Amino acid sequence: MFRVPLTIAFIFLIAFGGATASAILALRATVGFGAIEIGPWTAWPEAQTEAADPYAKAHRARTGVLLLGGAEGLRFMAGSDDEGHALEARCDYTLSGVTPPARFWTLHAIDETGALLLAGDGLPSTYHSQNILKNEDGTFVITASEKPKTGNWLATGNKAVPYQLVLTLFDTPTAGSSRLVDLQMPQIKRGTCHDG
Amino acid sequence: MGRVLFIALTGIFGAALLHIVIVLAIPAYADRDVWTKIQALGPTEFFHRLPTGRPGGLTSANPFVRSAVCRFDIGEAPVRITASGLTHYWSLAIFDRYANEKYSMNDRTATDRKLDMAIVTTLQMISYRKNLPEFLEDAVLVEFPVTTGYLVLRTVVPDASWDGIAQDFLKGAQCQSVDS
Repeated sequence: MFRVPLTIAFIFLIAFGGATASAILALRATVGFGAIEIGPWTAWPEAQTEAADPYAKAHRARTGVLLLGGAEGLRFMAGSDDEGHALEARCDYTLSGVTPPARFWTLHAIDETGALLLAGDGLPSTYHSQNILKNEDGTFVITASEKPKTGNWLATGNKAVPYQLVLTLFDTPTAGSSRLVDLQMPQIKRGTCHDG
Repeated sequence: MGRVLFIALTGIFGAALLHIVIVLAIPAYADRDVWTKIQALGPTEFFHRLPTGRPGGLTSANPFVRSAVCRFDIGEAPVRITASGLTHYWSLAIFDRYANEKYSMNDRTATDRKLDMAIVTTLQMISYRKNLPEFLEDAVLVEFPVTTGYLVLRTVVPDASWDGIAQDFLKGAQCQSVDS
């Protein structure tokens, strides 16, 4: 005698539970469609515009962070190395290459909550285009590691957390360029990993 | 068996439908969106300087960026934004209350690298085209499709010595209603 109500109850349970869970997962996993991807780096040049897709609009409404306008800059994020392994603080990474043309760029790391990953007082955890050591041809090499390195050392601290690298380009034509074949972002290569 | 399949398929179909409804409804019902946070800051037509990278705050964690935000209502009178002084870089973006970017610029696109702008409605724009007040002669007039919105002024701090300079720049920035 409870067959029909039970059936309906199960259907509702699956529908509401599945919809809520999938919506939360989708909004956590990505900022939306329309990303430009260069290697492991991803940016959403249209996430702040009217033309953004519903996922991007829902995402920005949930996070409530002021986004960069088109003429202001473009924010690239990388959560993995070139081979697709997630970035971990216990591993060393070498970032090498150039950035797309920009007047000024900054590099920092964030943890899962979006907070700045700081290794400790006085340790270099952030860089920008004017305090970085470059090679003669304008390329640069940054080593992200918990241990001190020569050259540009990006200290990641010894907290065993996954992190993301954020490279923000200010005043860049990148956001407006339609074909991104020629754009180059630094490569991220994994070095040695320390256990324990 | 057929019954289980029926429950599963109907459930998944309903979940897909509701998923779409939830995603579309979030912007309208979000209680942590930018507009809500900006309203909590205080008065309109005033530049609120924002702390950098506070969890749950308005700004991202970029340690080199300093920003100020101003909410405006141009229903009665246009709003004028001015800022000048030494900066390494500044940029400005105007959004409507649903966080859609309507206009953005940076110091290279401004005259003399000074910020002088007036945000006007379509009607105010028509009257300004006929008769532009003298004090707005150098200002960039931006026609805004709706009456309420907010704008963000950002500047960068390449090292600690720029901190005071950047704060002075943001402190000196003005976001005021134009008295007509």
